[in-house]
Amino acid sequence: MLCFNSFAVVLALGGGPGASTLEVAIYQSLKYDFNPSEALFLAWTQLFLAGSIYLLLSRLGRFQWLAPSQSHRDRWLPQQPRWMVGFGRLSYLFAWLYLTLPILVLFPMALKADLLLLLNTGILSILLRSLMLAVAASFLALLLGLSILSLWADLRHSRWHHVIAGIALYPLVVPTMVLSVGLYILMMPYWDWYQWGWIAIVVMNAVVVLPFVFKQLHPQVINFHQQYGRLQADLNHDRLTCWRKIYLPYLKPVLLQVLAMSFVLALGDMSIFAIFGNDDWRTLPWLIYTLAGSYRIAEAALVSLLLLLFAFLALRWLEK
Amino acid sequence: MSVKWQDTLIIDQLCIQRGQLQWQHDFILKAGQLMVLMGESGSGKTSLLECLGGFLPAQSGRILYGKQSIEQLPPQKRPVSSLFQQHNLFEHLSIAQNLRLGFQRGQPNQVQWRSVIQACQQLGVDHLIERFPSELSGGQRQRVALIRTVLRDQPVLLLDEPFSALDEETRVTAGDWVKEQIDKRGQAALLVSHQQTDSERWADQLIKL
Repeated sequence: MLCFNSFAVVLALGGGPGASTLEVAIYQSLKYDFNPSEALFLAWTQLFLAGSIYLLLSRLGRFQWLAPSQSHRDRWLPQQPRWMVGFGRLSYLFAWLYLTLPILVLFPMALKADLLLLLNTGILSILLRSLMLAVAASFLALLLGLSILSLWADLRHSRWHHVIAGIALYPLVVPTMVLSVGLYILMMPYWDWYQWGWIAIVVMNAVVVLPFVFKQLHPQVINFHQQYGRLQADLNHDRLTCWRKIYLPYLKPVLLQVLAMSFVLALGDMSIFAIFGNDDWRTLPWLIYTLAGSYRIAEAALVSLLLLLFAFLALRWLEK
Repeated sequence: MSVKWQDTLIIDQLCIQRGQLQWQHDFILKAGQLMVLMGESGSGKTSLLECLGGFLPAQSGRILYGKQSIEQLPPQKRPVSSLFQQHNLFEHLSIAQNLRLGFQRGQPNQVQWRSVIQACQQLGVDHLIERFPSELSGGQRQRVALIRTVLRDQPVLLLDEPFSALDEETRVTAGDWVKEQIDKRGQAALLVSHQQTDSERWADQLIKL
């Protein structure tokens, strides 16, 4: 599903109609050709295809979407023959190279960057804007996730639990581009997207990471209620005291992890910005895209490293 | 000094059902009295405490504290303080934080906190209050939870096997302390136990189920 919706990769690397995808076609029909009806048709097609894939996969198996890792609970290591261990290590090495080479290659390229040109792009304000949007989106995602789970915990009937889980998880089935285009066209007559697009960027980024937030927090919330539900009822504290002194300290480790991941995902967003943003107030990924598009590869490499640095710092700071 | 309660707990034809099993209870417990509930596993001791605490609905009958009928109230609104068989302490909070949560907004006043510290000293857990529950033994955890349950401002205590993890000497100390507290504060306490000596030493009333 994630590959199917990989807007940024195709936009950056694809060229011409031969190497395009539905998402890029939606973007182009809305922002370049300004043809909302074509964009809507393509969006419905994308929704139909993504929905079918999701239905098919969820019917075929009990795959847990974005579920938190269970590995820490199971430290059992099987005995393997020597060749198997060697083969495993080699696979890890290749996987590692596959993931790190595109990053490592940025370093020599970034050294050739023209700093003056970068400063002229207004990179500092772009960086600040990107950080603010990502911080706002990740906090909003957390707030939405916690509110939905709070509602989930208050309702006893399992039928309602399914409905609420459905609300939290539906951005997984409905691609980001489809949601964005729908919202864009729906609100177009009433809303000045040029001026207020940043609100949609924050909200949509929060909505997009909501399934991840929900899936990560969900087991913790269930555990809490199973383990401490009676004790909490017996102690009879007001809601504020419960949240401040009991619930938030309990959720804090997972909240920080979720916050870090949401921040990184929002910081790297391309597809939502493509719909609601504009060139007057770019974000870091969009700056990278425009620099690369005008063959300023060295500068694009340096900005990419900057983006990586902030993503890395956020993960280190919040997950330590 | 906290107020001394004077009301009586009245259990009037209280009918409790769990699966196929059904029990009916009738008793009166005065302020400052301790009732010991004994019986084999599955005889309904915990079910009675759960029903009084509001976690298991009664089939029929009444639970009165003073003049107030409480059987329809949710657990949060009942004038009871419960010690469960397990999960009495929040594992992610220190012992001191767990103890503070026994009081309004988790902020005991000076007098209340002094009484908590005195109780910790009396029951031999005062040196543990900065630790976390996972660093304590079963008996130490039980004593900490007992202190919070008893010292809360609630007139009815429901103690489900509060001494099960304690050695004989500590058991006597803890039991004497509970008896002294409910006598001083006028609480009505129900205590589940499997030990005959508990009822001989502390019970004002004994129910064998």
